[in-house]
Amino acid sequence: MQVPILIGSRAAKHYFADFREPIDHDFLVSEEWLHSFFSENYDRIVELTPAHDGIKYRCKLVSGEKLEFEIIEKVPSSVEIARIINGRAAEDVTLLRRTRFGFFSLVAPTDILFLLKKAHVEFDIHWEKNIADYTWFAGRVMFSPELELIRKMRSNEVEVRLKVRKPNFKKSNADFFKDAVGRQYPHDELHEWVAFYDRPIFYWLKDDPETAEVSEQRWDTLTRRQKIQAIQEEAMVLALERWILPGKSEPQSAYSKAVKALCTRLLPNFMQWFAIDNHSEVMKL
Amino acid sequence: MDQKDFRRLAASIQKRYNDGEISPGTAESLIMDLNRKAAAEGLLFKAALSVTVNPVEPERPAVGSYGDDSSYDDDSYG
Repeated sequence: MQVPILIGSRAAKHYFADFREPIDHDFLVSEEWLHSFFSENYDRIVELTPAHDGIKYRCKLVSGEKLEFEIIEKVPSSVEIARIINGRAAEDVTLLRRTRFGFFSLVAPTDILFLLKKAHVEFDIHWEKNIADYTWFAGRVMFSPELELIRKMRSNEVEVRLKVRKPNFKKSNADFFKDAVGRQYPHDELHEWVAFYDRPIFYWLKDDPETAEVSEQRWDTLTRRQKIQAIQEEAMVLALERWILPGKSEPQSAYSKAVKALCTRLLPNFMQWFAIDNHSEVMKL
Repeated sequence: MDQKDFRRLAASIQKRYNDGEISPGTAESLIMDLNRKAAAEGLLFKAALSVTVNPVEPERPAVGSYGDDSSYDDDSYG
């Protein structure tokens, strides 16, 4: 039977004493194992309820401790992750630990924990926690390019589960900005207000100024500093049009919300990942 | 019945308790009965009543028994 795999903040804390205090215990488990855990510990379990159509189960013990189980065989990326960890555990016995709950588990290695965090940080789910964790991992753990395929697989699974809709940038400006945002000023005019240089950086990124699409080729010609400024420019515009000018938020809070919106849904993929990877600097306005 | 049905029923019992429609004792016994039924079906499911410090007083005495399977078809459980 597949041994449970400890993931999440509790696993991170296992490797890094200075990681934030974990909230719960997250495991990847087989359904067979969960049935056996459930029947053997029925009296210790206060609550065990399914979530996300039975992909996950939330469990609360009499002790008050909370556990979350993801069923490996119901999530293709988890099957791949379990395969990798099982392979490594065969050569590294230190991955196997006895948990405080009495059962044994493998502790997911740090590159896998980073992968799992990376697969979540592009979505608006517990984002403030996730971006802080992601930045923390990025400063300590090397992300292996070999894991990128599994990261993409897992991101797609989350995308489907959350029914995420990405914006279509291949539209004229008129069509693109015809949305639910009540704008007091034209979006492009706000770019002029906050531009770092004599003209906004985003003009520079467009092959056709009449469409919302930006060019990846042009983006690649920018320096790192200019890329950060391009993200900051867009965040300032969003903060102004959506929160500050309508009087909904103070500037600092509006800017944070705008950066979050950019990192999770309002940028094309190549800019989104730059914004995520450089979040700390983007925030230093 | 699958886990979703059980979850819905548990949520419905919780709501009736929160609204003061049933007493804590009745709610507890309904939840325990639900858990027994789920266990009998071999499902991974166990619910618990979330007890509030100052629940709304029941407006009327709780009547009837949850043990009757027909109550699963009652819209109030859906």
